[in-house]
Amino acid sequence: MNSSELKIFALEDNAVFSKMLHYILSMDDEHEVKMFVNGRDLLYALDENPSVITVDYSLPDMTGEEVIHKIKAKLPQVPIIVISGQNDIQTAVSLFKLGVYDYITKEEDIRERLLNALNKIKTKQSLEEEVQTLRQELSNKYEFDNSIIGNSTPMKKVFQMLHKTTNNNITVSITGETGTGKEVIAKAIHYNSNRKNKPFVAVNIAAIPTSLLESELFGHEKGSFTGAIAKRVGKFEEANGGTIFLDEIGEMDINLQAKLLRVIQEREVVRIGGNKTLKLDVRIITATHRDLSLRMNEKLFREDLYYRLLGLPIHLPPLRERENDVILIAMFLADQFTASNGMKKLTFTKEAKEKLLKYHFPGNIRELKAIVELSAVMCENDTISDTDIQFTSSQDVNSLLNKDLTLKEYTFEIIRSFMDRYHDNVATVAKKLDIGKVTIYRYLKEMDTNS
Amino acid sequence: MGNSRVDLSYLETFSGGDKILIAEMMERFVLDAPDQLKSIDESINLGDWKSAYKNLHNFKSTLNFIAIQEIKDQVLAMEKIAKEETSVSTLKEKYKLLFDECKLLVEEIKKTLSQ
Repeated sequence: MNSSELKIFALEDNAVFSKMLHYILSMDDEHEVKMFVNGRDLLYALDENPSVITVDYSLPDMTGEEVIHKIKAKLPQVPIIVISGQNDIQTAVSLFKLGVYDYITKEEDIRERLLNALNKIKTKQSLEEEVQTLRQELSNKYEFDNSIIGNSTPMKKVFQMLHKTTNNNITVSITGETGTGKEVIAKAIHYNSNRKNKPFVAVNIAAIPTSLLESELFGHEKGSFTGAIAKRVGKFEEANGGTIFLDEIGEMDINLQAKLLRVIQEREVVRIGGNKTLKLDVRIITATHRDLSLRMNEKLFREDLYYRLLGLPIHLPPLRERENDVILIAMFLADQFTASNGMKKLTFTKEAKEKLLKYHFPGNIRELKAIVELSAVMCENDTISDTDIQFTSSQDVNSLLNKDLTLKEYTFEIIRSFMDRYHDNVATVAKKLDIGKVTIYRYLKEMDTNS
Repeated sequence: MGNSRVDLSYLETFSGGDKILIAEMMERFVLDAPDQLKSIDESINLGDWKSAYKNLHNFKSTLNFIAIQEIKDQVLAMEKIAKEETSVSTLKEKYKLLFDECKLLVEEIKKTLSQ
């Protein structure tokens, strides 16, 4: 049944009125109408899942209220329209409190009011279906296999960790360099959890001035400070029932960290200037490109908050460590770009793939995306060749080879480049270059002397 | 009470002026009204206030389509008595009047249908 079709159950014991009601309700070909003369028969048929029910308030076998209670208990989402012979405001109010959709009296305008109510229900159902479809699309888009490309060894570890997040509400802390896809991972966790039909709210801590962040996160009441001209619902409240993603958590001001800690510990929030405590049921996912333990040692990040937020740590490897994933992601990004621009599918030449594999992508996937999109525009004959690929960084291997250097100078350049890439971690650089740590230290000393 | 006991304005609005449906509803009233009146009479005679109220309430819906306001008011007054359980004798008297009115109403409808 689509949104314009309605399966209507109508409960009316008066034979004459029942005939008239059936006539009105059946005027639209897309209405499937079933009439009932008593409450018992209607309740018995609820398994047929009507999309709307009209109820006569005065019934032979039970009160209208009784029938409504029983319908609500079984089908809480189905709209109920009460049709009554009495224009009684008190009854109407009490029925609305029970959750009925509309209260229509058997006056002359009943036909118009009834059809209006049914049209509104159709519009609402159509919107609900649309939201449901979009949610499903979003959920499919963020399925682990659809949203995260890669089968390299480091990514297999990431997938293993992601699957540990689905059946629980554990806090997740994502680390990784800029552009490694931390927000995509956060969304994938949300849309693969049982909270997927609730909101996913992302907050970039670094992008919001410290003075505004408290109000942004926790909300404020009207007049609570200069400029608070209206009540504002905070991001935590907005995410209630779902997930809040606190991106760049390492940038949060130390004073605000104390307030965040309280909210996380108490699982409740009070808007600035308010006195009402709001209970929270929010899953927290954090992300940072920084080493939070270092921030903690530098007293820039609270130790208690660090351990509260650590939960299940997931580290996203930089693209340069993801082996052949670079090619898989490049092909995926090229497909995405051509599809959204109505272009033909593109292929990469062997040389183009080799060029991508040699590059170290300091900007990670974000940089790869820019490179692929530019090459897709620049290429001819639906094939991306190595000459179509332009790197933004000057640190790529080809540009290094273009320099006129001695072998020793080349070695220094390579050591310098690897030391930058691996954050001065001598052990990693030695492993990557397959030479001893002592050799690295020797070169570093020599470079220092030469400079 | 004036000459005509029939008021089809509600039915015409409700049906959107569908002549066939209006005729069907009039026939339906001719068929159903005697039974409904009988049920009202029985419940009053049994002193069953609850049934009397329900039957009168139900008959009010039927009359709504077809009768003039004076007859509807008669039923409304009877419904109130039954709900408040005030006086069986008054209810009986009022029933007699209602029965007579409805008899004339049915005859008038039959005449209209035969034309």
